[in-house]
Formats: sequence, structure tokens, C-alpha cells
Amino acid sequence: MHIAEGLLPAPYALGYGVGASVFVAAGLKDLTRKSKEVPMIKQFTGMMTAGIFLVSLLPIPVPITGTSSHPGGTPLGAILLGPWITSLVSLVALFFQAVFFGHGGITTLGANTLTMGVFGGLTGWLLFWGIRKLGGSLFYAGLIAGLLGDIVIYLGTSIQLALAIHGVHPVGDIFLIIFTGFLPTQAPLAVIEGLFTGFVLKYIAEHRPDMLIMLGVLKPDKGEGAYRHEA
Amino acid sequence: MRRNWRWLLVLAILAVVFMVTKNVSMPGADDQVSAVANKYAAEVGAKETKPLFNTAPSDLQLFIFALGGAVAGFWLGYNCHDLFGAQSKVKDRSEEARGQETRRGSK
Repeated sequence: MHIAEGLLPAPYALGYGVGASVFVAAGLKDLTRKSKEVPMIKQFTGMMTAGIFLVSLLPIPVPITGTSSHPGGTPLGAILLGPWITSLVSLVALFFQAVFFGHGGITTLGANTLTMGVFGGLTGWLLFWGIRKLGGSLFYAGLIAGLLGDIVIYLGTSIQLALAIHGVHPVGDIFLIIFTGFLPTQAPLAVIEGLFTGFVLKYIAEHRPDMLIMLGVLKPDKGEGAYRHEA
Repeated sequence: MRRNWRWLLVLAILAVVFMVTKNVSMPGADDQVSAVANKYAAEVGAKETKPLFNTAPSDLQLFIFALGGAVAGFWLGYNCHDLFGAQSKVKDRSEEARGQETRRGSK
């Protein structure tokens, strides 16, 4: 979800912007640190930015509802790059979408970065590693992370909007109106995003496991053969 | 499995052809929710405004995208080897370690 230009009252737009900037700063610091340890991280971050720019702009029609929406792409980004760098990546992707396509806005850039980059990314990352720690396979961990990460993006947007524009109405009522507006279109797309995340991770693990080892997604001592067995 | 993918692809193509020929409009869920949110936003003194930057399709937009695409393409090509090229040192190191173990075993 991209909150449109001007839709948030100034104090909220500023507040969300300040909140997002904390995570973006953490992303810059993390990227500087990782670029000393992982040789290809800057190139990979650039490529992921282009990927998230594309995926989060792509309107996918949902025939059941007669509407279209787009995935987030940030849960996958957070699994591969880490949640802090994903906040930075989201800010860049959302900035270009706002400037060139009028998708989202400059005044709402902080709010959109917070939901797509931070909420979606962090949820995906936490779920992925939680499921992996419990012994889940790479595909299923990616599937759940992508699916729920996508839903959390829209949950976050609904909360942000409800807090900012509820006025005299109860926050809960506005939240429900907005979230139920999203859910019928977004739920099938969340399933698609989950499958996409799982399949991408599985594909990289089968063809280039060294990349996942280098990014810290797979442990080096397990090796390629060990991965194939567990995935 | 491969056959299932073929069917899915055929279904997707048919769906696209149907939507194009029947002129089916699929409005964005973002826009629909924005319209609802705009009603409440107006009550607190905010409202959806036009984008700060003019995003109407123009030669300038085309130029920027062509330039951006060219720069990104060259950059990706330049770094292609790092991203998709030779296997990284992690695997090389593990192969080296396996070689050492084999040598130790043969001694």
C-alpha cells in the first residue's frame, strides 16, 4: 500500500518520517559494516532495490474482487539482506515510485517506508528465522514469511491511517474500515508473495547455495548436499 | 509438475486476453481505500493532493527512464560476475578443505 500524497496530517507525516529515518540510518550503518565482510553486498543491494521497485509497483489483478494490488517484496529482501538494509532499500524504491509514477508521495514517504520496509521486512525476517530455528525448511520458512509479511504491511498501513485520520471516530472503527477494504484483494496476493518468496529461496539454494552462505541465510558447515536433503 | 506450470501459464495468458478484449478495468485496491480514507482525512484537515512532481507521461520521463535503464544495465553488466558469475570463495574454501581431508586420509 502506498499512502497517497497529502493524505496524512502534517504532524503524523513528520512523526512517521522520523520513525522511518531511525531504521534507514540503521540500514546505512549495517550496509557499511556488511560491505567490509561480504564483497558483493553493495551490488546485491542495488539489484534488490530494483527488484523491490518493480514488484511493489506491479498491479496484479484479483478476478474475485475485480480489483488489483501489488506485493511488497520486502520480506524476501529482509531475509537476504537483513531487515535494516531493507528499510533503506524501501526508501529508495518508494522515492522513485513517488517521483516518477505518483505512486505514494513525498510527504508520505516516511509512513510508506515504515510499513513496507520496516513492518513487512522485520516481520518476514523474524518469521523466517523463527521457523528455521524450529527446523522448518527454507521453502516453508520463506512461504510463511512472505505471506504474513505482506499482510503485516497492510495491517501497518491501516493502523497508521486510522491513528492519523480517525478524528472524532473511534480508531478501531476506522482501522476496521480500512483493513477490510484491503483484505479481499490483498489476501490472495499475500499467498502469491509467500509462494514467490519460498520458490526464490529454494531456487537460489539449489543453484547458488554459496550466495545464501555468503549472505548468512545458510550456514557454511552444512554444505550444498546437506541443504538439498533438508529443503 | 512442469505440465501444471504449462496449464497455469495458458490460464494466465487467457485471463490477460479476456481482460484486454473485454476492456475489463481492475482499479487498484490502494485507490479504492484512498478514496474512503480521504473522506475521513478531510474531517481532520488533510486530503489527497496531486503528486508534488508532474508524473504525466512525457518525453522527459521517457528520457529519464531510458537513461536510468542504460546506466542500470551497464552497471549490472559490469558487476554481473560478482553477482552471478563464478562460485564464491565460500565453496572454494570448502572444496579446499575436502581436498585437505582426502590428502590427510591417504597419508
